Amino acid sequence: MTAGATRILVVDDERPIRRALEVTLAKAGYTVSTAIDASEALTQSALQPPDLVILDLMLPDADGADVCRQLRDWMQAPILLISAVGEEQDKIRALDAGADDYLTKPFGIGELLARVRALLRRSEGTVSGEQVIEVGELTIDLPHRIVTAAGNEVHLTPTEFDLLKELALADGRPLTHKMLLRKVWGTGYAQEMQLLRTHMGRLRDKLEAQGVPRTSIETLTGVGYRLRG
Amino acid sequence: MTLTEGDRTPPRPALAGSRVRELAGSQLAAPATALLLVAASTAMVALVTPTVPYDAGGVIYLVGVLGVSSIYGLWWGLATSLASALAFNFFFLPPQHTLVINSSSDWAALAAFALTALVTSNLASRARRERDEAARRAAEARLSESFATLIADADELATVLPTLASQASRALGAADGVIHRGSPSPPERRGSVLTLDFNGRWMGELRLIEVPPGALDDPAAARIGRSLAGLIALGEERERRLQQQVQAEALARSNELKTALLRAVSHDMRSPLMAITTAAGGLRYAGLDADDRELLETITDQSARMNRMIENLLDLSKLQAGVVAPHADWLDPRDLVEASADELQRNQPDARSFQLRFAPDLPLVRGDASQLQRVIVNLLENARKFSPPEAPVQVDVSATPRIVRIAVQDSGPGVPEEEAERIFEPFYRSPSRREAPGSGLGLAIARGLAEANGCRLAVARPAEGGSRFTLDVPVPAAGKPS
Repeated sequence: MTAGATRILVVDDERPIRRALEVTLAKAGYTVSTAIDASEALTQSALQPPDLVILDLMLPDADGADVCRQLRDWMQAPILLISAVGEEQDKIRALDAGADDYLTKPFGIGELLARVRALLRRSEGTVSGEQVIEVGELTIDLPHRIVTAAGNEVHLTPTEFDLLKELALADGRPLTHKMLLRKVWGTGYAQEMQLLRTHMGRLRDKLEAQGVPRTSIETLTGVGYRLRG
Repeated sequence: MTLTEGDRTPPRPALAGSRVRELAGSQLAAPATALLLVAASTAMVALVTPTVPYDAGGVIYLVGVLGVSSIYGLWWGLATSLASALAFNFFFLPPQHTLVINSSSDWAALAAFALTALVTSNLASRARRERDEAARRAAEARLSESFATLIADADELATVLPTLASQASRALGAADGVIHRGSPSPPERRGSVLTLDFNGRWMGELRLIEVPPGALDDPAAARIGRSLAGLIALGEERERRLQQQVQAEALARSNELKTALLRAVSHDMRSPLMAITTAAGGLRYAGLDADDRELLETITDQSARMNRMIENLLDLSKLQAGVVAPHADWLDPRDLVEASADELQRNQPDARSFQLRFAPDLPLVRGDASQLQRVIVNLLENARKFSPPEAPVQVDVSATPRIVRIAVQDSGPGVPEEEAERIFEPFYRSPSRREAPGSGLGLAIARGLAEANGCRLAVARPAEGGSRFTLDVPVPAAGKPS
C-alpha cells in the first residue's frame, strides 16, 4: 500500500490540533479526512472506510472506549489513541475495547509518524499465521515452544512462555494487564495482578540472564506491557 | 429518706399517686384517719354484737388496721392495731368499760387479734411500698421518656437542657434546677447538686433550688442522674455526628468542584500547547535553513518545558486540594524502578545512566503505578541534577518484612540537616543551590504523592557524602511472591 492511497481519519474536537495533524499527515503523503466528534467519526468511517483512525480519547459527545467498540463493529483498521496524562483508566478501557496503540500528549510529530507506520505495517501483513517469530535477538518457535536468545535456549515455564508468546504476537502493540491475564491464565483471572507481576519479573530475569535487556519488555506504567522490536 | 424500709413519713410527692399525695399532705391526716376508723369499727361491732359473738366482731377492727397500714405504712398500722385492741377490750371484753380482762379465753382472743393486726398491717404496708415503688418507677420511666423525646427532637442540646433540668428537679421534689456543664461545684455546695456521671465521665451537674432534705440520697435520684447523664452523652454524640456529616458533605462538594475545576484547567492549558507542538512539528518538513530550524527547536523545546511546568503545577494543586485518588494495584518494585530509569533514559538519551541494585526476592507492593513512578522519576531527576557530571547516581532496592526501601544516593553537596524537611516544601530552593535548574516542585510533588500512597519519603546525609533519599513502601501482608 502506498502512502498516497492510505486513508487516515483524524478525530479531534479541537480545531487547531485537528488541522495541525491533518497538514502534517498530508505532508507525509497520507490522504487525510477529519471528524470533530464521535458521531461524525462513525459516519465518516462508514462512508469511506479508513486504513487507520487517530482518535482523541476525550471527545465531547462520547466515551472513547464506546467509540472504539462501535468502530470495531464494522472495521479492522488500527485505532491510535491520543490521550492526556492522567487518563490511564480511560486509556486502558479503550485499549481493552479494541484500540491498538496510544500516544500521550504532547508528543513529537516524529513519534506520531513512527506509530502510524508501525500500525499500518502490521495491518498489512499479519504475524498471526507465523510459526516462528523473531523480535530483536529473540526467536520464538511457537509449535515447539522453544525460545532462543542469540542462539542460546532460554528455559521458560509454560506460563512464562505463554506470556512472551502473547507479547510477541501483539507485534509491538501494547497489551493491557487485563488482556495478558485473560490470554495467558483465562477469563476468570482478569484481576490477578499479583500473578502477572510475579511471572513477568521471572520472565525478565531469565531473559536478562541470556543477555536480553529487561527493558525489551517495556512497562507501560499503569496500563500494561509492550515487547520492543 | 429511703424507699425500701417501712417509713413513717408521708410518701414523696411527685413519684406517688395523686390521691395519696393529697391525703398525706397534712401531718395530722394519719392519726385522724386511724382514730376515725377505730371509732367507726367500734360502732360497727356494737351494732352487730347482739347477733354475732363479740369476740368474732373483733375482725371488723382489722379492716381499719388494713386501711391505715396500706395508706400510711407499718407504724401507723401498728398504732391503729393497738388503739383497736384497747377499744375492743374497753367496750366489748368483760368486764366492759374497763381495761381489765377476766377470762383467759378473752386474753387469748385479744392476743390473736393483736397478732392478726400485726401481720395484716405488715402485709398491707409492704403492698403499699411495692405499689409506691411501682408508681415511682413508672413516673421515672415517663420522665426518661420525656427526656429522650426532648433530646431526640432537639437540634441542639443546649436548647433542651433547661427543660430537662426543670423536669428532673421537680421529679426530685425540688422547686426547680439548672444543668451546669462547666466545672463541678465545690464540695460545700454538693448538698443541692446532683452529679451527672455517664460511665465514669462527668457530663455536668444538676443544681437544685429548694431541694427537700435527703432527696439526693434516694436511689431514684441516682437513677435520674444516670439517665440524664446518658441522655446528655447521647445528645452530644448526636450533635458531633451531625456536625461531622455536615462537614463531610461540604468537603465532598468542594472536592468535586476542585476536581472538575482542575480537570477543566488542565484541559484548557494543555490543549493550546498540544496545538503548538503539533503545528511546530509539522514545520519539520518545510525545508527550513539552519537558523529557522533552531527557532523551531526553541518552540518545541520550550513548549515541552512549559508542559512539564503545567503538569507539576496541576499535580501540586491536586495534592493540596486533596483530590489525588491513588488507583492501587499490585506492583513489582523492581519493575517500578526500572521503568522510571527507562523513562528518563528515553527522554534524555545523552544523560548518564543510573546504577540500579536490587535485593533478591523483593515482595510485591501496592500503590498507584503512575504516581509511584512519578515519585521515583522525580527523585532520580533530582539526584542527577545535583551530582557532578561524571558522578554516578546509585539506586538500591531492599526489603524488610514490612517495607520495600528504594534508596537514591547522589554524589552532590548533600542536604544540610536544617533543610532536611524544608526541601520537600513547594518552591523551596536551597540557598546553597540556587543555580540549580527547576521550579522547586519535584520533591514537594514526590513527597505528596508518596504520602497519598501510604509511603514515607525522607532524606539523610550519609557518612560517605552526597544525599540519600529513601522511599519506604509498605509491604501488604499478602505481598510475598508466590
